[in-house]
Amino acid sequence: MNQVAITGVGYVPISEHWSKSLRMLMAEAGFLALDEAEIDKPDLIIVSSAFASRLQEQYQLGALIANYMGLGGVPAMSVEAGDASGGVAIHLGYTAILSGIYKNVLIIGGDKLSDELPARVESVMASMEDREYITYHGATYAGLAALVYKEYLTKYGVKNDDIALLAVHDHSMAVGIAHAQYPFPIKLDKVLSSPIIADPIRLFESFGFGDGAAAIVLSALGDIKSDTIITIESSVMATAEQFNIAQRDNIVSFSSTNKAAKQAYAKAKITPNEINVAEIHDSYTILGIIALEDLGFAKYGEGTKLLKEGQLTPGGKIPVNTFGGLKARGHPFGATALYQTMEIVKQLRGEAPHQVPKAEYGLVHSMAGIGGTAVVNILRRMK
Amino acid sequence: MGSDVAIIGYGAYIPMYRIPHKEIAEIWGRGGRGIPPNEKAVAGPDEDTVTISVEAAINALNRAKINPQDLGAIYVGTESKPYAVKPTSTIVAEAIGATPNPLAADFEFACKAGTEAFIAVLGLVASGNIKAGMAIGADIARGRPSDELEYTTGSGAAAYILAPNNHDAIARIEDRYTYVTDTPDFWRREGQYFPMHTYRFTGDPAYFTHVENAAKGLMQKLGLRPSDFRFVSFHQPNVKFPLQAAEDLGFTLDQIKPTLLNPVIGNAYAGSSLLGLAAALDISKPGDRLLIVSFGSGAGSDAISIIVEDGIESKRDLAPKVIDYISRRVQISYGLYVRFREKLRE
Amino acid sequence: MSVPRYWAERITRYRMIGNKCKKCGTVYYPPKFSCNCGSKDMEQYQLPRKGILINYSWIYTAPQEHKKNEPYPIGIIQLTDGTKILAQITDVEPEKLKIGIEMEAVFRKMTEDGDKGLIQYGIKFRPVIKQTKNT
Repeated sequence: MNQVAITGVGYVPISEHWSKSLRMLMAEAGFLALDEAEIDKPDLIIVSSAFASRLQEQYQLGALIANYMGLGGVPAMSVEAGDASGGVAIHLGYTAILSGIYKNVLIIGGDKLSDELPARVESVMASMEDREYITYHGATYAGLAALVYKEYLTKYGVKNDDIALLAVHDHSMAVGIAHAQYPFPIKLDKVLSSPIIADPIRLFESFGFGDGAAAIVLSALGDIKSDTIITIESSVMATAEQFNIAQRDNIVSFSSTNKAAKQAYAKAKITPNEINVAEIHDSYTILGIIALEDLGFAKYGEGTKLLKEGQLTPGGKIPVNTFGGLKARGHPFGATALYQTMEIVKQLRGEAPHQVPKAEYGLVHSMAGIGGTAVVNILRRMK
Repeated sequence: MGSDVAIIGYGAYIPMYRIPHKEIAEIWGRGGRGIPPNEKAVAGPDEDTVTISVEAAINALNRAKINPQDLGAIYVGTESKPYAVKPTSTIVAEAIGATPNPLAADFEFACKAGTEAFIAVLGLVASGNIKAGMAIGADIARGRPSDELEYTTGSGAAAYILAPNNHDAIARIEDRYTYVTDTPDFWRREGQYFPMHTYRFTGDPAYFTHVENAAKGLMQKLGLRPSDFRFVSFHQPNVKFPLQAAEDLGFTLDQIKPTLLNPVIGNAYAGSSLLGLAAALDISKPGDRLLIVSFGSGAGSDAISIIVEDGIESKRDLAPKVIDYISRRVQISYGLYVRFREKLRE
Repeated sequence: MSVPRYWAERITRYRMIGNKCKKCGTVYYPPKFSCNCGSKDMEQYQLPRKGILINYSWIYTAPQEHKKNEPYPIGIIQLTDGTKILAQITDVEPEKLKIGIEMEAVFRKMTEDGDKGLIQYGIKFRPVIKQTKNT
């Protein structure tokens, strides 16, 4: 049976790339990954972008990028699933390899939020949720996360400060990371005194708008000649039981992440305890805390305990977001899961600035909006 | 004339925000000199003539207890409709579930558009052409910044459902009398946002001539005197005019006080006299005779005599009363007023 | 906003009409094509217009089309029949907005396409108006 290995990674720094278009950023990242994989021409290209159709007004992105990279003729497609676009794209690449039809798949994720004015970007982001019945009422991504945040504080009696601490963690992990959008530490009081964007969420508890592109090459195992092989042991995708937040019985847990995680662990034949390092989706601090719980790293209501006890650092029980996470490394939507994957790969290869010793199993958690779609990929270092 | 037609439901709506006249005066450097001591109702940024009409309409339906599908006409009288072309009434009809049956149109006759709509519905019901119909007078009045009118341009809506008289009726229509001429005391040209008025010309030749002739005409026709009425609701462009008209015609302060809403809500234009009538209905007893005299610039007056029936007792509490809307009050500054009503125009 | 797209949703939006699964009784607003229980037997359902506020948040970074009203609250209201609905909240001062207060549906302007375009309407929620009883 085929197995799926990650044979190349490539990426650009995350910032406001005023002079570079989306296609330029994607091509750059794409070729870096292909070069590392020592492949000239992949069998399939999967392009992941959450917002290109609205911010760059571009459709058929797969064919466009393939062509721009001089790879016209190669099968290519575009994938959109909000902030989980990258996770879904990787999942599709994974299934493409397992099907036996494609041997080398290039997955490029990218988004350029700086191409539009902030209020328009807010509108586009809010359209990840139901445009007619949620966004229509003026709800934003932050606004919906804020409802989750409030409910979490009430339900578990946790303090605002403890949730906000995740931003401090992310920033401490971004120090020394060349591609991070905000590679500097930040103190908790600075987070807590930043302006409110949707109460109680503060500006510094949220990702910033930025541009980025990252790529990975997936190859069928058996074709690889290299010392360290990183495989995708399992890749599972799930959508929310109730897409509309108002219809959910429990808004402080995301059934999509929960379901994807359970199945991913089962397929990889491991438990959460065996994960050595993880990348979790913390577009807002509260979503990161809940991810710790939905992914089985902490009991429900106890995510902040792990954080406060320092268990999320490279020396702790479950090192998380060791390159800065969505807050400090950045969150260029369609590219995010690709950055997350590349960062886990670096950890598993022993090449991370904040190295987790002897990391063998890594987990990548990609989620869209307030849990509409989630993908959990479990990576493993073989050999 | 139809004493066979009755009001089977009525509803009011007044927005929540208030701006004291003092606030407005101070901005325009008129502090201390001849400022009316009152305030007016200001519609919020998400309100317009359509939305205030819908709420008044729903209140009327709740009192009428009829199926909205039975409404054969929905007429809205206003001079502040959001679309110059596209009826407010179709949106109201859709929002209350009356579509696709009713006649729907918007009426314009400045502040008497509401009573014009009322009488048109009356005619349709009396002729048997429709089973029931709704007339709404609603306005979010526009005052040119720094103009004296800015003190009083208020907002409000009142809706009335008319049907053949029955045991459930709130009040039956006794008769009506109209007095109309071409008298240009106040107008707004096509394409203009704020209206023009003619200061003292709006008094005797306009308001008083038409109001008093309509009221006298009705009383003469019915052989009635002011003392035959329990309450009278005049159109209220300010406080002085209706009080003067009452005095001229022989009505007492007690008869007009409950309907005099201008000190609190300002001039609700097409909603003004109809809101005063709603306030009267809120406190009337079966057997009370009520008078409403509207006035619309341009100019004209409708005087309508109404006799309260038994139905008022059980129906009065089925929707918020005028006093409930008046009690709901949040004071705002001139700055917020300008923002809410988008007075900074490009 | 596209006129045809807006028009197609108007009844659902203006009158709060969802649907209900005839098999398991679950109510959906907005309506769903078929139920999570697997049944496609759905019937129209009129939502009640009153409920309790169970969650809310003030939005300070509004999307383009709602920028004029910034900041404004959105919230989840549990209606008297148990159905929960997300809506914008209006006619309330910040200090008066609390979890647990009674809310009622009101028909309001949502957005508009500039000076020349269509105005979009919908349902928002506000604290219920206290009614005095005479009789």
